[in-house]
Amino acid sequence: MNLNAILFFIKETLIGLKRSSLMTIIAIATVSITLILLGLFMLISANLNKVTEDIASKLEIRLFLKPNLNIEDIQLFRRKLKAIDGIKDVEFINNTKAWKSFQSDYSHLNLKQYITDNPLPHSLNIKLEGAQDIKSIILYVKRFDTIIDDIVYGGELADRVEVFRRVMAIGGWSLIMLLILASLFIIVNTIRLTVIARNEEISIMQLVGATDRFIKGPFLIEGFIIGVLGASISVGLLYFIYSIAIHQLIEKMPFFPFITDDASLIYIYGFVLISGATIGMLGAYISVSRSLKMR
Amino acid sequence: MISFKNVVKEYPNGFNALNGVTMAIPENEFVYLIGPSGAGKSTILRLIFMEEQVTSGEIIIDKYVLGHLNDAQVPFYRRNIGMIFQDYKLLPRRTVYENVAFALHVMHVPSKKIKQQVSYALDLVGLSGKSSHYPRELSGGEQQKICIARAIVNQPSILLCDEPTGNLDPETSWEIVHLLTKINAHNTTVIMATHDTEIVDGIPKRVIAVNKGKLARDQVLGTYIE
Repeated sequence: MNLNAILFFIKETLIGLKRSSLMTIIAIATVSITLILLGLFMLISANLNKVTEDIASKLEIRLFLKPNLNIEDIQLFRRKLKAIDGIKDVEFINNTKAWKSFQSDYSHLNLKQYITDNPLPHSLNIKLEGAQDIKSIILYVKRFDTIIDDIVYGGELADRVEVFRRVMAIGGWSLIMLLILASLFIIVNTIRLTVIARNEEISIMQLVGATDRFIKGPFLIEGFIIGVLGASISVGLLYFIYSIAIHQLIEKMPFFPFITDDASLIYIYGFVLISGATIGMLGAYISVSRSLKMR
Repeated sequence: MISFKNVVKEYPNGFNALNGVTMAIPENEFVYLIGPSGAGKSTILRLIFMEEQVTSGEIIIDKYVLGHLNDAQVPFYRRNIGMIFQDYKLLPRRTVYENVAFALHVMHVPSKKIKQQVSYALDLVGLSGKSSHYPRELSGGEQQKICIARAIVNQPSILLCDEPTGNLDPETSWEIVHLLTKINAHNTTVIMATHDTEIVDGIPKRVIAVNKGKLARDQVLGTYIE
């Protein structure tokens, strides 16, 4: 395609946008609203994810070990556990140290009077990377019943976190897909109106031997522009809304690790922009393909 | 060369527009296609232009066997054929120049060449002075001339005319047909579907008459009524 054809394309697109300016504005507004919802959902979802991950990262499994194990065996087992995927760290807690700290924590009970020998076993404290691995790790360590005497973990909390994460992932992405489909539907119909308005032109183009690609080109650019403009407006508004909201939230709930880093936010805003452009072009493509097929 | 071999065209509603038409039109010929409304004249033109496909039979136009062309090849095939209509089919929001240049833009012709070819076509139809006008500012005859200029601007080998004088007064009709004969003289095959008795009898050419989807008459230098 030569420069002349590209210039012709751009000119045709601008004519199209100008001619159906009201419809274009409506389409841009619809895309903006949809993408604001999409963006808000992504921001909320990302924040919830981070909070959940934060809870998950605090999950630990405590293994109380059998007595009479020597330190070398324990260290060997510790290293074995540490190599497992999903385990962030394994800390060895010596029973002497544990007993001392227990005694100092409960010094008012004067425990030495009643208990002369250290009743606590050696233990290992497993720190997990995420809540999703907890079940499989527990199943795994349960096999070492010659080493482990008892396993203590926040099972119920872990289960809840896991369910919450799953529901959020499935529900969230279903909602996002639904929103994308909805905005796609709106763009398809808006571009269809433009196509109908330019029906005569399209039939004359076909008459003088225009290829399908040539006919579709300006509409695809039109869809792209609608998508990108809509997305830009929504990114602007999202940026504004999020800055205010996050400021308030951090003030009220300083203990939650909300997303404030530029990288995560740029990723979300970039996704919104790309979604806008893709939805716009895809909508235009579906619309024009259908109308060309009808001939 | 246009060749129809036993061409049958049945529309989806069951109407049998053409019922076994066989004919051959050599290069650079001028042919009147006549017959009553619904006889199959427009169907013949639409089949040549590939707006419709044959139900059975074969059409060969120059080097193209139409039944063998796929959707992607049709636009390129159409660039060899100009088509003019009774209702002109012009773009109302574009000037005379833009309407004619449109056909060349579609073919990615460089802008310098577009200027040359459009000026030539407008000159040929006698509209050079009105290139910046909009179609609505011109008479019916002038609008038909824009349509002709657009059809011939890329110098097609065949020009199909579907009742080109149907909406015009007798004087303008003569002017248009003279223009078509002039184009024919420039090595373009012209097929003109018409109801205009005076023109067919006044400028004698080959006459192909169709009736009820069949070839009723094929006569060199024929008249409207046998």
